[in-house]
Amino acid sequence: MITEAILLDFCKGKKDAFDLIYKSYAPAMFGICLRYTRCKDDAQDVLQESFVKVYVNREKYDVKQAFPAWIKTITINSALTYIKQNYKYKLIENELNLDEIQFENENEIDYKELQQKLVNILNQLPDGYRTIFNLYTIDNLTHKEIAEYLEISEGTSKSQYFKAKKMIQQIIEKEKVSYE
Amino acid sequence: MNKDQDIEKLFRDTFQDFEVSPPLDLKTKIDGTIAALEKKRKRRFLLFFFIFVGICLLGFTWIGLQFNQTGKTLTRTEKQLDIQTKSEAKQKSTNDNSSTFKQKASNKNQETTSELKTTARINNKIKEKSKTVNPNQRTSKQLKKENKPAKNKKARKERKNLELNELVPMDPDQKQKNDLVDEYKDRIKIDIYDVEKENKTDSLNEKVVSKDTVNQIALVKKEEAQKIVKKANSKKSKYLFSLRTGTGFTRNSFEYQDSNSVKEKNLFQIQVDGIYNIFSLGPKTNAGISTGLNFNSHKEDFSRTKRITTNTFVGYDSTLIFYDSLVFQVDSSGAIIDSSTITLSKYEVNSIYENITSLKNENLSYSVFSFSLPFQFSLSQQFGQNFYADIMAGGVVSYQSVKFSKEANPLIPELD
Repeated sequence: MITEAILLDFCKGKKDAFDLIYKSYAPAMFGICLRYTRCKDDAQDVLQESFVKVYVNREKYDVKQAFPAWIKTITINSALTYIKQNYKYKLIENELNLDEIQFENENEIDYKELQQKLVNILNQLPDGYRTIFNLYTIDNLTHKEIAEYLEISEGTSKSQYFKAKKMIQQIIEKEKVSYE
Repeated sequence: MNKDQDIEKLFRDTFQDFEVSPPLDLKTKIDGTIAALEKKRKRRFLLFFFIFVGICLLGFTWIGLQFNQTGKTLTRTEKQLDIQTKSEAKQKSTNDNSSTFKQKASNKNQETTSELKTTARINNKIKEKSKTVNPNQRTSKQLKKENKPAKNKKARKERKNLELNELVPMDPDQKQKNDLVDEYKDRIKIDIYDVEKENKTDSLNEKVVSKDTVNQIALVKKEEAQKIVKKANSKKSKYLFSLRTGTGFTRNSFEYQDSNSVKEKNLFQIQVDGIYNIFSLGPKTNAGISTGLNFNSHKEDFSRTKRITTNTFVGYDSTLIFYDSLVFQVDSSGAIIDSSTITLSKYEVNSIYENITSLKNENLSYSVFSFSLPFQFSLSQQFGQNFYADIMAGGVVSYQSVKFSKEANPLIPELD
């Protein structure tokens, strides 16, 4: 549990406090990174970049502000920056051959496996679809906010989102991934 | 529509508490990156710090130079004008030209007339020059007029400009004119002396040289001098401090090698000292602060080879000694019954120790980082014309860190 005292120590630059914060938040942030990136290696790079930013910008953090939200924002921003810099980020419809996607046909999979399956589905989406789907569905941003974030129009955000959802639906139906 | 909502719900619910442990080595990488950034930050800070100090030094030096230049100009003006007072003029003419006066006294009949005529001409010239040549030298009337409150802004501005002109360094032409005036003045002073000595008997003196006129000019000059000195003092007080700066930068790197193979490396050293400010707290009180800066960072490496001799056990030296022994058999009566020789053996073992010499390389290095900030405050109070009291207090804030590292290589046996 991260207390206010730990956060104050962190703001002062104490290494122990930073270690504690890393230990507490790294798994959740790594989950976010996995959702936004194509593979685990990229997710690691984003996580590394995120925590370096967290440490460097520690003095800007206001203790009254919710720390999880602050660190999450930094991680999402780092992920978006990484996507823009490394993925040749384009909001065009990807000609993805759905037949090439292979999933195990299991009717009963446990929760962890479901999470992994969904991450795999997200990873198969084109970068634009995945980014907008993540921001809208999971991170609860509005299309207006997404448009501001990604410097695109609100209409583009909406259309990309619907295409992403359609593609996910097709993948799920095809692979019969059970989620009930 | 329902399917859409289901998908949204599925992803939202599933990823609500989605956590995956990152690889363990990732933390090490993050720590490494942060350490590198911190190092880079420190270097950048030092760089900016030294650039800042450099700019400050240049700025202070420039201000100091400006101040000195202004000071020189003011001093010169004061001297030029001070010397023009009547009393000094009299004294100077008395001291420097007494012999001339005697000669003049002896040739009074012949020379007085022509001298006084010349004096009259010079007097007129001075009057003209005081009006035309040097517009900054003004009459008492002008001064009185200027001392009155300005009626409008324009007049006030003009007056201010006129006053400021007095502090501007003189151009060569102006200087030449002033020299000419000074020369004429000296000659007048001589003549004043003559007139004072002789005016009671010579009626021409009253006609040609007007003592009152000279006195009036001297008075005007004195007033001007006082006014300019006053202005100069008020101008000086605007300079809150004077300063003295100095800086040093040394970078030594030398290596030498003797029997112990000692190397020394002085990597970096910089020092700034002698920033000296004086603040005027009053007409007779000055406060001063003197400070400096000293930064030193160097590393020394010692590499030496030690010769170590140890008495080491190397093994056993075993010797088998054989010896013959004669055995006699003797009966009860003491007669020898039999005698025989048998061979016995003895085994002797000795430990062997040898002095083994080996060479040992030892590297010792230490790095020193020091930073010191000396400061000194002073207070100077004038109690009398030649009596001052100074109080000084100060200290040094310093930080020094020394890091040692010793590294010894394994023993290397010496080869013969």
